[in-house]
Amino acid sequence: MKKLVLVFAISLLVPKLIYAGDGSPLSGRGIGGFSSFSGSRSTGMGNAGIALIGGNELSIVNPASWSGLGYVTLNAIYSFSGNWSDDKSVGTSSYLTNGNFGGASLGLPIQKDIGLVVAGGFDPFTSYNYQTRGSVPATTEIPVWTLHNTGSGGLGEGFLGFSIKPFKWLSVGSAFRYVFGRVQTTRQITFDNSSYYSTYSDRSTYLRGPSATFGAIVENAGDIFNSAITRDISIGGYVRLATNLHGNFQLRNSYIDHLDTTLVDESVTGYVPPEFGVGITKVFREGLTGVLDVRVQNLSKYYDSSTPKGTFGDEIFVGGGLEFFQGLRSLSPFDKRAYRVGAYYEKSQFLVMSNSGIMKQADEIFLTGGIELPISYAATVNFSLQYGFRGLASDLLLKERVLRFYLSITGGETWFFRPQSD
Amino acid sequence: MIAISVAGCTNKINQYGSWLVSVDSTVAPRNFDSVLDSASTVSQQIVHHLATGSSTVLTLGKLPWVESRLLIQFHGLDSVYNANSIIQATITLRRATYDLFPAQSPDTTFSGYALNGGWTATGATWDSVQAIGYESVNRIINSHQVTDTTVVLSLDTSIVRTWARSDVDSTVKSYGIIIVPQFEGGILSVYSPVNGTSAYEPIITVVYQKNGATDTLTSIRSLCESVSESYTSNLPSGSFKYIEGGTGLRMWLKFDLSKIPKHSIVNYATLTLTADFSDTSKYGTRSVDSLVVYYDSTSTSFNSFTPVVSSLSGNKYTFNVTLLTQMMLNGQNNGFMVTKYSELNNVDTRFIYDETAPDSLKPKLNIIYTPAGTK
Repeated sequence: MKKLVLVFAISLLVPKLIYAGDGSPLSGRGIGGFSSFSGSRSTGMGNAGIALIGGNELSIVNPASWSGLGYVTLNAIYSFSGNWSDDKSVGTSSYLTNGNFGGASLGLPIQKDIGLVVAGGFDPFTSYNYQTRGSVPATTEIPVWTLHNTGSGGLGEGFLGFSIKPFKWLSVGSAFRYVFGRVQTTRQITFDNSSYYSTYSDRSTYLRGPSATFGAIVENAGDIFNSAITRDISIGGYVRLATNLHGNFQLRNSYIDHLDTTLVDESVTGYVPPEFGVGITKVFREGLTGVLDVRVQNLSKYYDSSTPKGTFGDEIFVGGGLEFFQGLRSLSPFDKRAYRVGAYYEKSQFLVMSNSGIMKQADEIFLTGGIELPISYAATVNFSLQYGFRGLASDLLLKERVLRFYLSITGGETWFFRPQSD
Repeated sequence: MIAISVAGCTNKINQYGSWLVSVDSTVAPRNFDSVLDSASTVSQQIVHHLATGSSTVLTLGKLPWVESRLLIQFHGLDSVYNANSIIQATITLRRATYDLFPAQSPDTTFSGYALNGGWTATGATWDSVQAIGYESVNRIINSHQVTDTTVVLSLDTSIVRTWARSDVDSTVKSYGIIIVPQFEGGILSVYSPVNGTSAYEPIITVVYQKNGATDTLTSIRSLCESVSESYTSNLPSGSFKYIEGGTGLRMWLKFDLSKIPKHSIVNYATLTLTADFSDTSKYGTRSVDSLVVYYDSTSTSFNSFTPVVSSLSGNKYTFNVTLLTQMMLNGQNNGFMVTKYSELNNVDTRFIYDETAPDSLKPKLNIIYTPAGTK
């Protein structure tokens, strides 16, 4: 119980419901880069796990997977990222790091035999995190000046849902989600001449809106083919409904006379297209599980009041990985280990200028790995690393390397664990 | 909630990724030049009579376009009131060593007249003294001695006896005298009682005979102020506005800033005024030559913001008016008020070209600003 309290206390520290975004200047469009984070277990397996049931972590994307939750669990995540990027247009590079508590969730198994689990929490939705600079040569009237754009923030979401297992082979679940948060651009103009007062403006967009996720997992669906290859294969899928955003945009300037003025405060709206995903899970042998996911989101239809449709490209994600669970049958929880590897490829939402002047969709590929260690009977700590490249095409003017690190702590209790006699 | 995060950092480069972030065209700094942009400019000659009693230096003298008179009153003469006779009485003024205007030796012939009413060192102005009035009898007699360090004026001893009597008998009124320059020749500057150094303060020296003995009284407990008037009709005509210390001649100047979007961020702003120094005999010394500019709402009172002091290069006065211009854009454009630096200490006159002068001479406001921005 103490561990659970500890994890709960840590989760209270969650300051911003965003994930530690890459630090890519590409994230400075719209409401930022959409998170591919799908749960602390999945981070080691190529962000895949739509059809993954079991374990004590909650999947972000598919609520149907909650039906396998064995204990009351509370999960808190810290994420850190580093971004090395090369601006080929001017031959310069940048390195940006960022870290934040990236989410927390609580799962309550109400009745395990029918997979009835109620869960809620917070998770990242978008990241808006970048820094850019551009200097302009002096003219006869104006000395050299540099425009600094800094993006911060992003949207997070709260969710509350349930899963149930109406049949032994079928789990379904749904979650209500509410997206909210702020993306902030601070724009500063500095001059080489120190006598000049710098321009500083804060442009913040506050957005919020509801959505919902529906998911299903058919366990051992492959058994119907009566083949060794398809045996122990589960199939899952989910749909996340479109999100209609609304909120307001505020522009504040700072002046030499110390007057901060809100110049613009107006309503804004936005639209996030629906997202779909399917995945399979195969248990190769006891303790060894593989996952493979495909997710798509028609982000070319995304828009908000200052971002036209077509700003982003349609996103396609393919990811997979393996999980090896060591000490599965051991009576001591401290003999248990989970090792995970994976990879994913994504045709990302970002459009990048190419040498020929044509905007091209930047694709990215990541290798992932993770390890889960016990810290008590029902509490674990999970470390995951992801390293990858964005902008694989040779003619793109922006190349990025990204390192992500996730640390999550999961605590469990048997609050509603009913004795067999019940 | 407690925020725990790792701050982002980047290497220090001047170009990176700026093309990736959509930036509206209003972000770039822009230049506003009141002359090149043909901004409407208006100026007015303001006369604000000054009370110079708080000044450490007072002025006395006369030129065709300006006159400074000195009000002075002594107390502490009670030991003289019952003297058998007053043999001699003199006022000694200590000359200040700067701000002599013009630089050449001034003519120093003065008259003195008993004032008809009370006044205060921090309240009397040229107009208020005219309202008080003074007698027609000249109380300064014989000659006056002007050296490099002092001005000594001999007084009619009868007025000194009146002053002494008023020190012991409240029914006897005495308001001091006004010292009036007689001829146009120049302006003296003398230290005032508030200078704080007794060796520099005006003094009265009275030699008197009492009970068969001759004695001398010296008193420094004086009340002293100069009042000045500008005779603008005698100033050289032209495309000028006149800025003068002592008399309160000021230049009010307003530029039309409507071409700059409201709430734009002022990055740098300079006001340049051009002076006519072609006839140095009329413009005084330039040893401490600066003008001061204020953002003003009326002709007689300044806002309490720190005034901006100019720098002088050639005949160009330049002011950094970044703060004042920002206040105009964020609030109300009430124009600038330009005054002489150390306005109370001198009666130097500056002839500043106004908006009717050729472009190269007219007042110029140059603003580098960033538009306020849009969504």
